[in-house]
Amino acid sequence: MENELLRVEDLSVRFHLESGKVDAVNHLSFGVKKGSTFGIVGESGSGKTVTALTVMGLLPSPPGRVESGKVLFNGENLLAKSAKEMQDYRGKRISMIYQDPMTSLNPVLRVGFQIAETLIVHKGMMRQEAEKKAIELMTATGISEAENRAKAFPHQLSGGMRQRVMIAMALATHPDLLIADEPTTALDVITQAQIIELLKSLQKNLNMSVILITHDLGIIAEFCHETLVMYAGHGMEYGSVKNIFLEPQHPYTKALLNSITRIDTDVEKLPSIPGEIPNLVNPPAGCRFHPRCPYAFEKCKIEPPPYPLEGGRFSKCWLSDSGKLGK
Amino acid sequence: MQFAGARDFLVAYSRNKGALVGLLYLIGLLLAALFAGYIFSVNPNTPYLSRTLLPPSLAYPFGTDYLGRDLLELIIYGARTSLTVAFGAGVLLALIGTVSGLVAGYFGGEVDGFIMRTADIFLTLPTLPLILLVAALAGPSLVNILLIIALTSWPVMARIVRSNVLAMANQEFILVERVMGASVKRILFDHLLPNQMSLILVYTSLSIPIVILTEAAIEFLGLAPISISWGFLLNIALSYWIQGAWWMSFFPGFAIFSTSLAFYLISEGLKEVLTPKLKRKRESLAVQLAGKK
Amino acid sequence: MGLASYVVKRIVVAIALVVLVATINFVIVHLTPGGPTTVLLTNPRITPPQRAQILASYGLDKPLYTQYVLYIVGMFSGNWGVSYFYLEPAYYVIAQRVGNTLLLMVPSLILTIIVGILLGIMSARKPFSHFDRFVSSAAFFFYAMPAFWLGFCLLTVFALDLRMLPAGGMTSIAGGGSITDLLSHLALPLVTLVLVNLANFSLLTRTSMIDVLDQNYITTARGKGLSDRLIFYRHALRNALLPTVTMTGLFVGFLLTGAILTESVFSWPGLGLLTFQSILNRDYPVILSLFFIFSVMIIASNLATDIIYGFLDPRVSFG
Repeated sequence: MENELLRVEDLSVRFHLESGKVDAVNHLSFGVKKGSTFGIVGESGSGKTVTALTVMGLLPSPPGRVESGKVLFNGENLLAKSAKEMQDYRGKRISMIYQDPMTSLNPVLRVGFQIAETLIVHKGMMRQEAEKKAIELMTATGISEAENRAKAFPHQLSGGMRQRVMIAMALATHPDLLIADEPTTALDVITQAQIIELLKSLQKNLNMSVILITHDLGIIAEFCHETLVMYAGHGMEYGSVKNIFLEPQHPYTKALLNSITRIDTDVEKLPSIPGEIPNLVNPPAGCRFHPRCPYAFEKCKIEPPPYPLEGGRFSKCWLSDSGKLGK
Repeated sequence: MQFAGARDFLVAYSRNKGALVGLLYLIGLLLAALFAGYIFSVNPNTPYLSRTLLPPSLAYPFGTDYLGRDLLELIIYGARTSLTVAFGAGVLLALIGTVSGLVAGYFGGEVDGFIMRTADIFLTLPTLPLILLVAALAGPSLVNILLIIALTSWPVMARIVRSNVLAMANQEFILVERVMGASVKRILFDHLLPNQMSLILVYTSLSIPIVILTEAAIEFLGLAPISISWGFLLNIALSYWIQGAWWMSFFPGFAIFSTSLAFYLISEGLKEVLTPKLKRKRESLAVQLAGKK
Repeated sequence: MGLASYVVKRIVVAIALVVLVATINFVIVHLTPGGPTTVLLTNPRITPPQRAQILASYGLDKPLYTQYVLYIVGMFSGNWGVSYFYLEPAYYVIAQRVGNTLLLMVPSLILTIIVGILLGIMSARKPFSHFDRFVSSAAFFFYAMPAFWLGFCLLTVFALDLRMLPAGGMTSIAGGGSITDLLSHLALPLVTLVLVNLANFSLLTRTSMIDVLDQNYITTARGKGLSDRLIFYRHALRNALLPTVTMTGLFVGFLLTGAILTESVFSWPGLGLLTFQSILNRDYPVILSLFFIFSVMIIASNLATDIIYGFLDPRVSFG
C-alpha cells in the first residue's frame, strides 16, 4: 500500500532453547501507515518485544531465528539486508526507545554525548556541532537547563529525565519510524502522563510513525490510531482503536477490556481473565487462547486464520466467521 | 539441580572430560598416599648414601636426592601432607565461611555489619606477609599452616553465602517457616543451608588449588619445614640444582602443579553440574524476551 | 559523595591500616617469650655495648604505653630495629634491596596487565572460539602452576641446557653493569612472574566484557546503528575495564608473593631473597620489618587503585 511505511508480512520467529523450541511470533501480519501511531498491546509472552526487535534487526541470533516472513520498510525487505546495511537504518530511519531508561543508557558516558553520537555517526556532524544540537533536542523534549544537564551522567538524572534523554536520542536524526517499547512502564503515573504527552506532540510535529508497545490499554486509547492485540505470539485482533474499544470482535480483546476497572462503576470483585498464559514451549493446540476462552468450542483446537472484517480489520477467531459475536 | 542419586550425578559430572581426569587423579593419589606404607618402604627418610643424586631410571623413576632417598617415595608420602592441608583447610574455611555467611545474611543489621567488617579486615590485611609472620614465629606445624590458610580465605566464602542467603531469605517458604514458629537454628540449618550446598561445594573446591599453592610456598620458603612435603623438597632442591640434579626440583613441583590442576578441573566440573545457570545465560535472555513480551 | 571526600576517606583508612599493621608488629615483638630481647641477648655476635644501645632504643624501662607510641612513631620514621644478621639498621638492609625488587615487579605488573587485558579482549570478541578456549585453558594451566616450579623449569631449560641465559643473580661480573646484561638476567624471572599471573587479568577482562555486552545499554547502542567496533571499544570496554582496575590493587599482593618466590629461585638480590634468607637466619627484626614494608606496599597500591577507580567511574566521582 502506498500509504504504508512498514508492513510486516507473515512473520514467524522461533527460539531454539535447550528446553525446547519456542514459537515467539507466529505468522504475524500488520501494517503501519505513514504519520500514524500504531499500538501493540498484550500480556507478557505475547511476542510484542520480539516483533519490535526483529523489525530493528536486533533479534539475538542464536537462539532466535526468523523462520519466515518479510519486514517491508518503504517496500524494502529489512530481513534481507546485511548487518552493515541495517546499521544505516537503525538510529537513522528507524529508532527505538526501551523500557528501563536507567539500564538502557551507558553509565560512563555523558548524556549529551550519547545523544550527539547518532548525529556524528549518521549525519556526519562534527562533535561540537552535534553536542550543540543535542542540547536543543534536550530542550525540545522538555528537559530544563539542558546545557548543564547535557554534561551529566545517567545516574544523576531522574527516571523521567532519562526517558526524555532516550527520546531525544532516538529522534535526533528525524527517523521515519519510532518504536517505543513500554516507554512508561518503569515510571510513576505523573511522569507517565508527561511522557505520553511529549510523544504525542513530537509525533504530530515531526509527522512520524510510532509503534507503541504496551500492556496498558489506557495509553493505547489516548495515543494510538490503530492497534494490534497479541496473545502468546499470535496477532489476535487488529483494527482502529475506536472500533476495537467500542466493538471488540475477539474474545481475548473483550476479556482485556472487561478487566479494566472503571471509576464510574461499582465492582465487587476485581475482574481478571481466568487461567494463565500458556507455556510457550508446549502451547495449547489450535487457538492458543481457547483454554481460557468463555466462548470456546470444538473447532478451537484447530488454529483459526485471521478473518478479515470490514475496514481492514481482522480477528483470529472462528466466531468471526459468521460475525457471531456482536457486542 | 536435583539428581536421582549418586549415579545420576556421576554421569552428569563425567560429561566434562577434564573434570573426570581430575577426579580420577585425585582418587589415585589418595589411595597411593593412604597405602604408601604397603607399596613402598615404610620410612622414606632413611638415607642411603650409596645412591645419592641418581637421575631417573627404571629402578628409581624419579631419581634420588642428596641423601639417597627415593624421590618417588618421598613424593607419594608428601601427598599426605598436601592432601591433609588441602582437605583440612578446605573444610575449615568452608565451615567458617558458611556459618558467617548464613548468620550475616539471615540476621542482617548489626550482626551482618560486624561480620562483614571483620571479613573485610581479613581481606585487606595483606595475606602473604601475615602468613610469613605467623609461620615464622609460630613454628613448623601442619595445624598452623591449616589455620592460617583457612583464616585468610574464609571471607570470600562468607560473602558468597551471604549474598545467596540475602536473595533467599525473603522468599516465601522462609517467611512461612518463621510464621510457623520454627526456631532460628532450624531455619538456618534445615532450610537455608541445603540450598547453599552446591555453591559451597563449588567454591570450596575452587579455593583448594590456592590452598595447595600457598602451603607449598610456605614450605618452600622454609617457614614450616615439614620434612616430607613437596614444598620443602623444592627448598632443598635449590641447593642441588646447580649440580644438574634437575629431577629434585622437577618432580615435586610437578606433583604440586598436577594436584592443584586436578582440583581446579574438579571445581569446573562441579560448577557445570551444580550451577547450570551460568551456561544458560544466553538462553535465559531469550526466555526473558519470550516471557516478558 | 564527591571525589574529594572519597579520596580523603580512603587515605584515612589506609593510614589506619598501616597503624594496625605496626601494632600487630608491636604485639608480636612483645609476645615472643622473653620479650624482644631474648634472641638479642643470646646472640654471640653482638657485643655488650651494642647490646646496651639496642636495649636503650627499645626503651624497655618505660611503661608499655610509651613503648607502644615510641614503636609506632619509630615505624613511621624508619626506625625499624637492628638486623641480627647484618648488624645494621633493618631499615638500611631493606632500603638497599627495595630498588631491585621494584625493578622486577614494576615491569611484571605492566606486562601482565597489558598482555592480560589484550588477551581478554580478543577472547571476548569471539567467545567460545578456538582462540578463546586456547587462551582460557593456557591461562588456567599456568595459574595452577607454582611460580617457583615454573622458575626452576625455565632455569633448567634455558640456563642449564641451552645456556642461553644466566643462571641467576641480577648482574654478572663479566657483564660490567651494561643494560643488556641486566636484561638477560631479568628475562627469566620476569617471564615466570608474568606467565603465572596472566590468568587473573585475561579471564577477568573476558568475563567482564561478556557481562557488559549482555547489558541493556549495549542493545541501545546497537539500536542507534553504531558499528560493532564502536560499540565494542567505546561503549563496552570502558565499562568492562572498571573491575580490572580494582583487580590491579589486589594483584600487587599476588605479585609480591610471586616476587618472593621467584627471587628465591633466581637469586635475585631483592626483598624476596632477603625474606628467604632472613627466615633461614632467624633474623627477626628484618622479618618483622619485611612484614611491615610488604603490608605498606599492598595498602598503598590498594589506595592508589581505589583513587584511580574513583576518577574513572563517574558514579563515584559525580555521585
